[in-house]
Amino acid sequence: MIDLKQVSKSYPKGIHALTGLDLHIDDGEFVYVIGATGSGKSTLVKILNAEEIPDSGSVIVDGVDVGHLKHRKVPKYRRNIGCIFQDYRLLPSLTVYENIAFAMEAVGASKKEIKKRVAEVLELVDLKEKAYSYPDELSGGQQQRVTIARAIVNQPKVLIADEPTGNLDPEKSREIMSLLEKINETLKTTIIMVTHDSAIVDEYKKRTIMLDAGFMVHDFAKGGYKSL
Amino acid sequence: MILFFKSLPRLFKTANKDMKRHFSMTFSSILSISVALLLSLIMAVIALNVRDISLSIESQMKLQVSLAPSLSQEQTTEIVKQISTMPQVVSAEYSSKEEELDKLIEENGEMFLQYKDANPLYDVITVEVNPKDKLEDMSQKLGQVDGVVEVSYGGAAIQKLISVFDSMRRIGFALAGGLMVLSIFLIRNTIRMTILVRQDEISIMRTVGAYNFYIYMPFLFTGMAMGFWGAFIPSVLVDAAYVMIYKAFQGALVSEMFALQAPFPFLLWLNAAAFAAGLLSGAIGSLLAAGRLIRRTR
Repeated sequence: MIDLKQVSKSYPKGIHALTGLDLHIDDGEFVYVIGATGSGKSTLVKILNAEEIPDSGSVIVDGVDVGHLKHRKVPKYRRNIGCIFQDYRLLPSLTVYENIAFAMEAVGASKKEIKKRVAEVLELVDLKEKAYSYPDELSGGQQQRVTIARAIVNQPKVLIADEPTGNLDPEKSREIMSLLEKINETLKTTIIMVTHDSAIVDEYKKRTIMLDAGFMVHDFAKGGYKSL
Repeated sequence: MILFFKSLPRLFKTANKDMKRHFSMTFSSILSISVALLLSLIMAVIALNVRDISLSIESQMKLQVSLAPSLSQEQTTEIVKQISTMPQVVSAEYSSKEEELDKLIEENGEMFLQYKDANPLYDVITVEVNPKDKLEDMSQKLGQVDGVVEVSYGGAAIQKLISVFDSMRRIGFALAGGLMVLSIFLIRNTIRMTILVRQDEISIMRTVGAYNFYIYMPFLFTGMAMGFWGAFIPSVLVDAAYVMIYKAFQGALVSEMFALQAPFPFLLWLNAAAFAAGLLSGAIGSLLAAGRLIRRTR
């Protein structure tokens, strides 16, 4: 599914964000990526999302050579990748329904398709009754659920979650984790979650990859911070 | 391609929303294009009519070359021959001073009869020159021919009028051009503001995999809509005014020589040019603002 071979990326001023990274993630896996600030987590996310081009090595996602992807083919590739951010990035002037529908409109879906599919994902994230609320009328956890709904509405094969629980209290974080697990199990979506939240990593044990200064220092199948 | 046509209604809707959101900026952009195009249209109406008028005047203009009275018959014939072989000369007709006086009497009455005994006129050659050549240069050249006393042409005042019109036209077009550039920049700024306001939206669109055209088309439509309305207003004004003037003066100013162009198809071409200029400047303004979005980056 996801196959990185000897991937390196450095930025001007000689910062090595990733060095010789080898990583294989299977279809339907749920993987944590942990590490201190500047360890290369964000660069990994950007490379997977085709925002950055690696300096060397190969990145294959679902059969697509992301590193050598032509610019004009990037939009189509991104439809296979859902993204969730720590700061939600919802449009404040649109309702929950419209925010989710927006992602489908942008890829040219018909009104009928949009109506059907948005109802499905609202059901999945348990926000049906909030469909016509605006983001600022929702709690942080609910807003993050809207972001998740928007990320999966186009049925991506991979979901990248960049610190999805970073702004939430432990209880709301658990809600989000349960939802991500549900998506992983029911939709078989591959999930890569970047996180700092050691409590979550320990509680919901998954394969855990640790980066440090651009190197992968641990790849632990059983998961959890404590076992590292 | 199918996706493009499918998305069109949505793209238009977005463009419409953007224009409403920045109504005052949109309005000032439209106004600025309108003023620029109004000025250009007025200049074009004058210029195109004057060009026709000056063409008709110049084609009628002839030079009168007066010959020294001391010349012999052979010398005169020689000069006529010399002038008519000049490349710019269409025709050269000799007329003796007696013939000239007869013409004068015929045109202006008996009062000139008194000169019959002591004819003060010169023998003349009437030279018709190629309309493309400047009469002034030609008259200087003819003045240098041996035996020529004086070269005159009746149209000096009209020539001056034409040159005044000419410089007016030049200043007018320069002014209109400057205003056009200004309106392009106004459109660019208006759209840039819209882009700033919609930056979050654009970044989300990129994340979910929207095609570039989906992102920048609304901005292009916004710019072109501004150009459209900017051309519509002056076109209506100029059309109405021109038709009114044309009817009031019955198609000609002062005399038949200053005939105005018939409103149709003249105004049609003028309006088409105005709309083309409006849409083009709108498109340029929006492309300048949205250039960053159009470039295929990651």
